[in-house]
Amino acid sequence: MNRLGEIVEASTTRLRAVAPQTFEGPAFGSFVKTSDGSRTTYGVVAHVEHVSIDPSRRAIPLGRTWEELRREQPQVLELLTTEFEACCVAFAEQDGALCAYLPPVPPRVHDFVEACTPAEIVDLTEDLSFIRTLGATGIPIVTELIAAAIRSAAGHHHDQRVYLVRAGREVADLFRQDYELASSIIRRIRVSDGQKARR
Amino acid sequence: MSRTEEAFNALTADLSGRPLGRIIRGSLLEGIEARLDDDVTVEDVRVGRFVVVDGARNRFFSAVHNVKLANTNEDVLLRPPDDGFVQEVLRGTNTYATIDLRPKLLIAHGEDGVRPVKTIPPHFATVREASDADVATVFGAEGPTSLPIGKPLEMSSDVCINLERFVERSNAVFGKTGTGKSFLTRMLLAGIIKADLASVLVFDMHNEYGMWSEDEETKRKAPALKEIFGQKVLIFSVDPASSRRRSVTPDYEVQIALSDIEVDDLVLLRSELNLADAQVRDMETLAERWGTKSWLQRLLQAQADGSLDDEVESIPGVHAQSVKALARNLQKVARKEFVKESVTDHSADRMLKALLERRHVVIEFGGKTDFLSYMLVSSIVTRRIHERWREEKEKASADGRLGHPPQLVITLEEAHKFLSPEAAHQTIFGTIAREMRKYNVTLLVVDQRPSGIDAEIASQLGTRVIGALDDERDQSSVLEGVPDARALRVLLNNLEPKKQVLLGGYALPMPIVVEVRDYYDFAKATRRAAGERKRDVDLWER
Repeated sequence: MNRLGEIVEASTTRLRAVAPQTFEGPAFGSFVKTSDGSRTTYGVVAHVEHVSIDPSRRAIPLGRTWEELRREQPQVLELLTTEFEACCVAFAEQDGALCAYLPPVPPRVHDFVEACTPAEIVDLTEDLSFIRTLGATGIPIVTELIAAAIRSAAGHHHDQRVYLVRAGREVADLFRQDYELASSIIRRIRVSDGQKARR
Repeated sequence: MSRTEEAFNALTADLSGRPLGRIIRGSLLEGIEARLDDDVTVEDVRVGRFVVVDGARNRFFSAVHNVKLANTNEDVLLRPPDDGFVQEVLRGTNTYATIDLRPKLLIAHGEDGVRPVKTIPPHFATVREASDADVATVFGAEGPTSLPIGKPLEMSSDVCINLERFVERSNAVFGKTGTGKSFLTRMLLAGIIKADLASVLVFDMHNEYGMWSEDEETKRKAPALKEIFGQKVLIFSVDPASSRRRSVTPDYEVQIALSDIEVDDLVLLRSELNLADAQVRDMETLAERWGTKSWLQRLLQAQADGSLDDEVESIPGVHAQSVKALARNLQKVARKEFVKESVTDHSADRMLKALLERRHVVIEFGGKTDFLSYMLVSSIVTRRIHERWREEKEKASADGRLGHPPQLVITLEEAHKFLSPEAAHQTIFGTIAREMRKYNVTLLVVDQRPSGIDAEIASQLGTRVIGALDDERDQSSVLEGVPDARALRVLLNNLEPKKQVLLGGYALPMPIVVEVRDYYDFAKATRRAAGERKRDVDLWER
């Protein structure tokens, strides 16, 4: 089991988790899941940060490389933590089908967060509704988030280019009224025609 | 699905009625509009393509009248994406294509017959490419009285002309030079002869309907009516010497007696003979005085022996000088080889007899391609037909035991000469075009300058076969009196010369663009069916 973190805050739309190892958080835009034993909630990583474990004490510049720090002041690493946030996009009841909308209750605090398997990512992203859910989160960097999520999903689909075109159309459709916004996302997911589709 | 798979699917889908899009808006009056599906490339949809729309209760039949590009957001037009991927993504979301349709006919689900449309399909009804079965439903299958003339664009099912309806009205074959008018006309005439629906009379100005004609491009000899039907077709030659040079043995030589020429025939030739209004009045006066049969002969005789002054002195309202000028002008007619002082064998009578016996007549003009000869002969023969058919029809109507005269189709090349607005009201051809339908005579007008034809006559044409036309006026006049002319004009503008024609009118359920069938195959099959023995097989049956 590849444990990415432990939940420290959760709502029906978002969860916040702490990574077990500092600097080893999940990638922005990657798909994660957490299970409370009966329900699995799926999310997209929307924010990753490295912060001091004590919110009242910021890290200060030390003027050394990490190599020197590890040798001379190994406790520094212990004072830092890696945290991430994920936006909930879907859930599945035990033995049930995947529901591509928000879960009825938030995931539990202290449950573990794991990376989704490639098969789960394909299931989760096949119908593209995650794009609309992410679009509705209202977070400031929504264009980057949607583009990153689409890119991370596309690699798992049979024909990457076909998938990107479909996803791009969903984006164009979602932001019909705002061509600038739509095209900025589309430009972030484009493949050049010469690029070989990944299988 | 990989791109190769997509390409393969697109290819195989072409063979059946592949979906093209969905109806998004429209009205019965203005036509309906369909949005193309995103996987349909706009360049694949051609104007003139025959399509069907599946409504909830009816299937509608239409041609594609226009293809358009549309967009949902103006911003995209300000900065058009240059990237292939972005263009592909935007296709179907921000940009899309639509097609304009004008359904003409519908067939209710579970019924057989097609009916004219009185409603339109609902929102989101599927538009499909028509299948061959759809074409057969609308345009019928080949039968004894239906002539397959070609196939709709990119299809393999035949479009048939209903010949029974075709011969009932005056019709036209239009198209600029080199669009295959004479091939089409021959095909139509051969269809009529084969179906035995009418007698056919052809005024064959360019020698294309008798034995052979030559394809101007390929120089290949094409069999004409006599070659196909043998003795059922009689060739009359105005210029036997020319016929012999072309190795055609005419059945008869055309001979016209001066007494056969009437004032009306000469009125038609006004511009060819430079006749002034006063001279037309003089001719009428002389004909009244000296008799319609003998005035011309007497006039020319008097002119020849110098007695003209004495002859006309006593006739009020006629001036000797004017009559002398008239006689000089009319010499042009008398000098024609086929015009004789008197004849033993009246060509017109022979032709009438043959036509009444349901045989067919082609009058070849040989080297005499001047309008004077052509129009004079045509006028005299047609006038006689007019009289005779009218008489026969009236007799038959009065006495139920007598048979009606056979349906007759008179084929007229360079028809604008006979049916110009000035000529149409004075000459026999205008009368036939307007009213001879009642007497079983109709015209098949063949012309490259349809704008020269009187609008009233043009509007009464039953069925039109229209090839490519360049001239604006010609384009609008061929559609004179046709419903939806504006929409058809688009189809007309997109015809491929020599290959495609727009068909429409009385003998067809709806207007349609077809790729014309191969004439040689047609002629071969028709001749075989007509039972004519092969003679010059190697000349054209290759």
